[in-house]
Amino acid sequence: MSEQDHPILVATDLHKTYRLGQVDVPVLKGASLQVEQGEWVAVLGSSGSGKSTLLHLLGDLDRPDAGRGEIRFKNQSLHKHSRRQRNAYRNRSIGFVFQFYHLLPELTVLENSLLPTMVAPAAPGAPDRAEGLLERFGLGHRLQHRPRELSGGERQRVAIARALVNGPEVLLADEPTGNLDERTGAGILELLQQEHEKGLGIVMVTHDRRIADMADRIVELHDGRVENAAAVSR
Amino acid sequence: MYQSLLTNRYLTSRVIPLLAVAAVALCVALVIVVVSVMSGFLEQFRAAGRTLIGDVIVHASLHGVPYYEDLIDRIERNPLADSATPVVETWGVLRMPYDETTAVQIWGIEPASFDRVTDFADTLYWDELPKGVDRYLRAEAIERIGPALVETLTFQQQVAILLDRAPADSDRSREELALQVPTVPEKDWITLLQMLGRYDPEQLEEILDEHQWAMILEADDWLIDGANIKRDGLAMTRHGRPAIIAGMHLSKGNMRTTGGAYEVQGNGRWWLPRFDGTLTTIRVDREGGVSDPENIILPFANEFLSNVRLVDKQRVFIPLETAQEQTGLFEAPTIDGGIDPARATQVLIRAAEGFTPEELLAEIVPIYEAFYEARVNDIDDPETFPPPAFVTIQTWEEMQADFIGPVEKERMLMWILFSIVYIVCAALVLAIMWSIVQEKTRDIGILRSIGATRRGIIGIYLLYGLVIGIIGGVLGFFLGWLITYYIDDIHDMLGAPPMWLGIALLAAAVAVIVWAIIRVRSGDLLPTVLGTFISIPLVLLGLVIVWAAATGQGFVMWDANTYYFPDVPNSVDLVVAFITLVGGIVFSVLGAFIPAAKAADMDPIKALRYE
Repeated sequence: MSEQDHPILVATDLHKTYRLGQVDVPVLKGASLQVEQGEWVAVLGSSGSGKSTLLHLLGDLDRPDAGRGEIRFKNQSLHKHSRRQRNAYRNRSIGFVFQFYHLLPELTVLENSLLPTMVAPAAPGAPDRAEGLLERFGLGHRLQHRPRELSGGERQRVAIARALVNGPEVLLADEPTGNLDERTGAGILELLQQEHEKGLGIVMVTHDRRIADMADRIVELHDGRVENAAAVSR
Repeated sequence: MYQSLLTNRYLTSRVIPLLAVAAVALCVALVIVVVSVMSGFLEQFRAAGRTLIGDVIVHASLHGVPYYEDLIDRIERNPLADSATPVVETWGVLRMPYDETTAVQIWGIEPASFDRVTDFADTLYWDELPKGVDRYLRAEAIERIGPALVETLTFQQQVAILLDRAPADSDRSREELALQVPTVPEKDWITLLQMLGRYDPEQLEEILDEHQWAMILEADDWLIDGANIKRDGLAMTRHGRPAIIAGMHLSKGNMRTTGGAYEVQGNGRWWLPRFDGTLTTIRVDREGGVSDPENIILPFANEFLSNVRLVDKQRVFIPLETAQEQTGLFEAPTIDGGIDPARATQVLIRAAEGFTPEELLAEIVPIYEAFYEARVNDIDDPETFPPPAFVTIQTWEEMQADFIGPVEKERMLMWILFSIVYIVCAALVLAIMWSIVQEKTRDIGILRSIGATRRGIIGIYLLYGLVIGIIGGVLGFFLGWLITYYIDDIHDMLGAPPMWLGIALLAAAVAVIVWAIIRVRSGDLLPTVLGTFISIPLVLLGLVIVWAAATGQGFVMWDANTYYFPDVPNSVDLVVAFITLVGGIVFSVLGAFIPAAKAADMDPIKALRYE
């Protein structure tokens, strides 16, 4: 079986329990998910269903309970990664987009989008790539502005440019439009759609069915399990 | 690369780092000023223990060391010794001019060699006549040369003197007074001249011719030049008589002012050097018996100020020979035709440049042993030659242990206080850096989520803390240095605060109030609070300063009357300053490092959720 035929991201039987004071709160109770190369998967779930947690585990920002579940990226188990490999995975293999943008307020738009190329050795031409992305996202005239001078939609575009600057294969988006009004949100989704068409795999978490409908496939996260996986015909 | 970019942005786009820089600077400056002034003060105090004592002291019993000149020769031949001087020490009672007797420690010295060992000349206080003293000296000079001066008076001058002294309401004419001239006896002329010299010197100078006026001045050349007081002090003579140099605090006539200078009570009347004192000593013979007290009347030639209160309060210097006379340590023929040599009870030695008292001490002990071996048989009664075991040879520090002990304790105390101040400052810097980095925890989460290494993140905040520490530390170093260097000027300014400072403060207060009122109209609460908090101290401080300037009051913190040093010590302790500077940097880095390391260790998720 060649690498091409493999799903790019496979999560198997993930368990995650948080400890709140004296009480263990299980959030994921054996969630499994497969993402094919270039596929857009929407994870639908109500608030508190553990969809963000799932995304964080996929992005290796957090780890499943010890020995309870495995995530493979390109057929390689994440939890066998060394620290360096984890950092490299976050830096190059995936891109993260958060609901609240999470830009650094002291840096300009261009600097924010270039951050991933600064924190680790990057391929040459990063500034051009970043500028190209921002240009395409309609922020060409905003390169030297600070995040506080931008609207919410603009900020999220910068965050997406940041996530894509190192050319990841999968974009992990956590309610990317959750903090935006409908029209602006639609703009962001359109932008994601464009990137998806160029071959970018997307895992998007949302509680909004209409937004989930944009994806190739919708899975539902219910009671800590991925329960109802249904392909959406496009 | 991103570390320096972020550090640069953190520093330039926010106010908090400026506060941190200011806090580091103030802490560093505070520690430098406090420690410099305190250790400077203690150093002065300690150094005072060395005044008038030399580096090493050879101390024999009351009966002294014979052939001390030979001992001094031997000592001075040693390259570690600069010079040595003999001292005869005894105790006695001094009767002061204002009818009071006081117990004194008497040191017989050879002023020239004593000065070489102890810089005695520097401690002589008077090098000019204090205010009001010249009247008394002039009257006394006229008394001394009285008959000779009266002899030179012309008839015209005599008439002028009578005319001047005649009561204002007298209606006697010039002619009547002229008739009186032959009837005035010589001693009355002297009295009249004295009164004129005392109460109306301008008139006297006008009446007398140049030659006669010069006769008066030459009778006491202190009237010609104040430097002659110092000269007589160094020679320990007054009008050719051996004289006493008394400690500055023996005489009740000397009043120390807050500035550290001295004023003479009674408008010059109680200036000790114009009097004679009666010194009473008791001779103790070799069997320990006490003979009759010996009285001697000696003039005072000057006063000395060593800044050691104990010494200034109870010591007098008299010429060595006089002291030997008084104590029976003079050279005398023995009954069997021999000679009993003069003796000294102490020999003070100054170390040569570049040698410590301890090094010198190690040389002096064998010198005395050799001296004893060589000379003990020259004396009629070898029993009276103190053997090395009975002679104490000490460094000045050992000798002054009682005096220096408390200073050392105070130094200890100061180091404890200093450590507390230092820890408080360190904690402050730590806390500020901590809160700054804590606030940046979310940034750390963001950086981690895009693949920044933990080491890379810690690097940002180390650099951040380092830059804040260096800028703050260096600023604080110079601030502390400036304050310490100008501390006397600052103190003087507090002592007599200038009116402009008070007015400037009040003007600043008015400006703040106006600003607050303008902003209050916009409905904000903050300007009111800020305006009140800033303007109240400004107003109070301004009013106090204006009041002080208007009434001539001042804030004297360093009262020379209490501290015995006229100035606040103002030399920066460079070692401490450097340690403090480095400490400021270390604590800034540490304060940044700990929370940064904590945040870098955190799950990125937790860091991202951090509010």
